[in-house]
Amino acid sequence: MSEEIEESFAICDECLGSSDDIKMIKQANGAECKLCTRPCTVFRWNGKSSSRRSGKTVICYTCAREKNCCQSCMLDINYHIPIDIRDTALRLAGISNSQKFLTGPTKNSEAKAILADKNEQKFKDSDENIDEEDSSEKKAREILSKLGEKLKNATRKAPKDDKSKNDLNPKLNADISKLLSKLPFGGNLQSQKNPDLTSFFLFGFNTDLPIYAVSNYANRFGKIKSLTIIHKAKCGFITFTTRSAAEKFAEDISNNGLNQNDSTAGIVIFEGNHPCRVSWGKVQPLGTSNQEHAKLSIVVSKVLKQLAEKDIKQDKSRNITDKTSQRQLPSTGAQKKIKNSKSNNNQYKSLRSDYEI
Amino acid sequence: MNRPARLQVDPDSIPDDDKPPQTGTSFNIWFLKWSGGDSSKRNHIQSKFKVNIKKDTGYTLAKIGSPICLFFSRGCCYRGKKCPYFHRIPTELDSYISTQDCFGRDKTADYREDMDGVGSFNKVNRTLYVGGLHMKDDMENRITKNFQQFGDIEKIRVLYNKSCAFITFKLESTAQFVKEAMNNQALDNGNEVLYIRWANEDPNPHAQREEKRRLEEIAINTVKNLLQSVEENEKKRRKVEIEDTVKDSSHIVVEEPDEQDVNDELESKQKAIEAAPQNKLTFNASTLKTLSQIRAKQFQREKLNKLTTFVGGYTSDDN
Repeated sequence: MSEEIEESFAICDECLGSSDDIKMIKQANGAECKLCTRPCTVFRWNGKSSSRRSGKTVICYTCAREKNCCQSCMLDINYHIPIDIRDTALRLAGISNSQKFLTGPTKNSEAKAILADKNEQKFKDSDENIDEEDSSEKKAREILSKLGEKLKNATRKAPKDDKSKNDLNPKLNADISKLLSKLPFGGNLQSQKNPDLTSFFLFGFNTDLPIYAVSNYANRFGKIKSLTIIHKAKCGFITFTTRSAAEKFAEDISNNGLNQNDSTAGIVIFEGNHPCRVSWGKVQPLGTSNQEHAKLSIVVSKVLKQLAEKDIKQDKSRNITDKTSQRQLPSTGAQKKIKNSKSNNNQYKSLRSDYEI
Repeated sequence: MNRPARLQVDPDSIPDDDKPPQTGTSFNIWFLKWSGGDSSKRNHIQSKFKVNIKKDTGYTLAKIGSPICLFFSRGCCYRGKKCPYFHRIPTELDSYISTQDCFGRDKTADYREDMDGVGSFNKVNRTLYVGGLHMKDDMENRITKNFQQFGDIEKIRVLYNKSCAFITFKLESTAQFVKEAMNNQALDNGNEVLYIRWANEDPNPHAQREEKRRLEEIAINTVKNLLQSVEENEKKRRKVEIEDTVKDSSHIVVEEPDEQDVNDELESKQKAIEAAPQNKLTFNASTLKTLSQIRAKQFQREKLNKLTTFVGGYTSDDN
């Protein structure tokens, strides 16, 4: 228990606010530090002039220094970013956080307090030796510029899905033939004979496809009646309230430049980079157990491969017809069109490589 | 938000009784809970109130930076438009202090034993555990329908054999709001009682890898933004410096003649004000000379400044 009152504090500018005069109250042993559970000096001040209520410190000065964060908002004191994100960035750049100070994930309050006491002593010793106050900002800037250099050089490795295969349990006893027989994997986006159908079968998306990406995309065409997406099974259904909305949805996807082959399910890229196959299809049960979902996802990836092969074949035949048409019609307009289709093909190929797992 | 927030409950209609509906034989006044009797019934009391986002949202006395009303989220705020807190769902544009939740309550370092409560500031948790579901077909769709009104959902994982679900939201604040809004409620006005807690970390190694990748991506983006902002700040600083020098040169016209070894700023300013009318009226040859000399010096200094800052900026950019 510290008998002398802590005089200094580590609070970021963002928390203190921009006004020049701040009224601050100091209370010795005013509260328990939320990290190390020791009693600590609490600072309270009137917040931003307009709205935010008064601020106060929640952790002690020692804990804040150890984590290099603000005592009030617990963001990095120099850059105002979350500390776990800062640490991952540092780790990515290969700069290990200086392990001068003892830290350990412990749930025991006594152990925490003892660790914090030791840290405090270390800080005091280091303060006597070097006057770090002036150099801290320079150091932070140095680290940041180093980070920038390293991150520029380090290209992000593309996520490899072959590892995920190992995660799937090979002992899958569930029988999914019933489910599979009803799923419209062979469907497409051409206009349907059934005029009442307003639903689509979505499949082949990655496990990080956010549901809001799908609903935001579909909301442009009309109200969604139901939306089921099962990430484990890599498939789902979307139903619109009206037939016209569903038709608009189908038309938009088939005209987005990624779908040369009308006889297979259409490809759509939801916001960001989330490719997915879409076809008309009645809503069917997708199974309830983990095993069924896992098995379904294996089937889906097989189907994706087959569909990609079909599309390649279609592309080849299309290219041949393109060439013949070029011979027959040497006008500039036709050439432009062909160029367009070729550029689309290029886009398409890059996408297909995503699918080939 | 064009309309005022409506009253969610009438303050006069709330019973003055602090006992919850009787589920045991004796009432424990210290814990405000019933004890004894059939304990299995105890957890199955639906909340009397439920928030209706479409009808209840409206403007209040809350200003920018105010938290969201906790009672609004539970559907029982009796203050309506006079409430000093927001009556709306949290959005992406809100910024909350990371040691508090969207209702302005302080977070703790560790989760509670039962994963209830405000949550931890050591981890950004966007996933909720939802228990007490009555399993039917197409639960994913039912959950989407009931939870989408509070904010964007990223992922839903339903465990049919354990009659529970994990829901991941786009924002942490949405998860905080939903936890209060849907706890002790039912889906589609049914008779189940949902039991909502914070989710523990996903033990699936694949999910963990994905989470790590996501964190790394965020980290890279923030560092990029930081680098950009640092560069912009430097540019701004350069501009400010130049402006300062220009301003100084104009000030010095007034201050220079009588400014000799004056340390106190206030004093010098006062003198400058006193001296200003005289100097402005009488521009004699000597002052003009000094002026031109000062200008020349300033110009040189500016050049130097530019050069040094340019060199500094260049090296950092090049690296």
